[in-house]
Amino acid sequence: MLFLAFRHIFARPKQSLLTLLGVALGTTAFITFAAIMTGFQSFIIDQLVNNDAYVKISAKEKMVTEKDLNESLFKDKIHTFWTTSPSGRQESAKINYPLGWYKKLDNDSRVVAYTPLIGAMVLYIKGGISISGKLQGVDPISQVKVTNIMNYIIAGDYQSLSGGGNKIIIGQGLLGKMGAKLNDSILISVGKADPIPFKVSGVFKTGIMTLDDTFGYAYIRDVQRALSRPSEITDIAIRLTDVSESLGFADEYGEFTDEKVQSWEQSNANILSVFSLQNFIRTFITIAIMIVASFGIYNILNILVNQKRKDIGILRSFGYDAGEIQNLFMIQGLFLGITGGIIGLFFGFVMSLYLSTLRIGGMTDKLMINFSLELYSMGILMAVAASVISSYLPARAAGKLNPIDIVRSGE
Amino acid sequence: MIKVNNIKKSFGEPPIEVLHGISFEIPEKQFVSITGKSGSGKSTLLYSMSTLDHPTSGEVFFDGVEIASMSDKEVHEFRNLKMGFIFQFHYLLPELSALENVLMPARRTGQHTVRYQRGVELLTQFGLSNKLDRLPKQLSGGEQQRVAIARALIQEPKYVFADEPTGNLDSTNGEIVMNLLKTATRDGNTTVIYVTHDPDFAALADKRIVLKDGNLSATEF
Repeated sequence: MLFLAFRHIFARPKQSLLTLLGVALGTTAFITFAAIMTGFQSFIIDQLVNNDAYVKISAKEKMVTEKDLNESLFKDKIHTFWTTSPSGRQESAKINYPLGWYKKLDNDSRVVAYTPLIGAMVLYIKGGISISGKLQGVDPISQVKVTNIMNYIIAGDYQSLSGGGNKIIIGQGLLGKMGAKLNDSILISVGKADPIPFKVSGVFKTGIMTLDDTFGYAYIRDVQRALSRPSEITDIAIRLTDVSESLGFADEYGEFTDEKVQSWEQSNANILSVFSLQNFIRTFITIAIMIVASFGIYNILNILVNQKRKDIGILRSFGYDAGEIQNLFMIQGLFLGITGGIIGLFFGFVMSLYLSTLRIGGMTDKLMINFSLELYSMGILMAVAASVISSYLPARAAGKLNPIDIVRSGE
Repeated sequence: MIKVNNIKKSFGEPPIEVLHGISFEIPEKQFVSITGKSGSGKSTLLYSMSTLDHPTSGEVFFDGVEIASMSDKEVHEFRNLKMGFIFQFHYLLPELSALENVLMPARRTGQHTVRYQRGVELLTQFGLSNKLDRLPKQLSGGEQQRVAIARALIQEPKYVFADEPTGNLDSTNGEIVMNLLKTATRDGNTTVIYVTHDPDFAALADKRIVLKDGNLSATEF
């Protein structure tokens, strides 16, 4: 039936071409949308995962209770009575026993590296300008094994932090807001003491505004001293061999500790929920486009089957059976669908190539485009599925036509 | 050999009987006409005995095999290899050339290359040797019907059923067509059964089946 199916297709080139274009357009749109969206998403996820940590153990802010005070103030008393119960919060949260964690992490084969951190909200001051931001105390040597921060240094040297001496690596945006430049000295105020001078020894730019506009990295001991919290840390950032193990790893560690253990998915749940909304909308749009394309095939085949009643009748009379007639039309629908799909993949690819050269400025400068095989297989799969579904009904109707009704009616 | 045993055919709801129990036998290599007035059930009889339609009751045997006992697949094979159909309208496939149309039945089993030579010969014999590659719309009505006859004969069928093959043609072309069918019976191992209301064409038959109001009124040899 292949022979006749192709004769049918090429006997009405305009109709066939239009149907083909419908599917091709749908597939192109799918590939282009999906390439932009998933490209962007995987870029962001990559940033989230690699700039922060796969898993982070963080100190929990604790409330102060009666029991805490009894234990620290009146340990030798048997009974303590309060006229007004004490309430409040611990001034600063810290990880209670970092060494215990280090030991455990050292012995876990899933862990590639970990690094201690101390974070604090500070004021960055330069001249009359003060900007609130976050200062993170890091150990530069282990830090680079956990995150990709090294890749984003655009001036200075990250390792200049080690050894102390109040140096700071600062986000490009933050530096700009202060009107400072590399090797300038800026003041950092932690709130309780006089501002401490730090020297800008490096600048980073990740493309993520929340980081670039508010973050500074300094050597961990310098920050501890500035905060008057010697040898305290607030977080441990961990990198695992396999990023997909993060969630399980966090759950497992979170079970036996008071401290907060979060995988990157948990700490970025808000962003990920935006992504899932995006994906939902994309799926919805794609389905809408494919339905339109499917209707194209369905309509054309339905009309064709009606126009071809006589042909079907005569084919049946010389022995072609219902299945063969059904095939005649299925082949046409599938051919149009699959060819349209392939053309769509090609144009989707061309569009993606073009888009990937556009400079849009902003956080990534260029659009992040997904060129994965998975995306393209998905595209062709959708085109095939749409054409199978939309060809089946008209083709089956054609197979069911009774030859005697056709030849008798003598149309 | 075809044996028709007491076939009845009803249409519609409530059923109206069009054929009231018809029986006859047709030996090998016959040229058989079915005649009768309009509405006498000629075409219904033709289709009921030709597997395209099913009689309401009664049996039809081809070479001793009852059609109703054959599987769907066997019926289609039988139609494809042993039968040819010619209708009042030519029913050529408009996308295919004359020769491709003729070879279409053979194409079902992939025999179109084997039958190619026969296709050319048939069309040549029918006076269409210079029109093998013409599309149906480039042929006259008579030529189209000749192509349809060549298509019915391509598989060297044992039985050819023709429903008013000349109905749409002028007398000259009608005669040509009837002669071609007659020749097929004489030269091939073929039985042709045709419906006609033209007494001249009916007279060409070896055997004549005459219907009157759904009953067999005469069979003549």
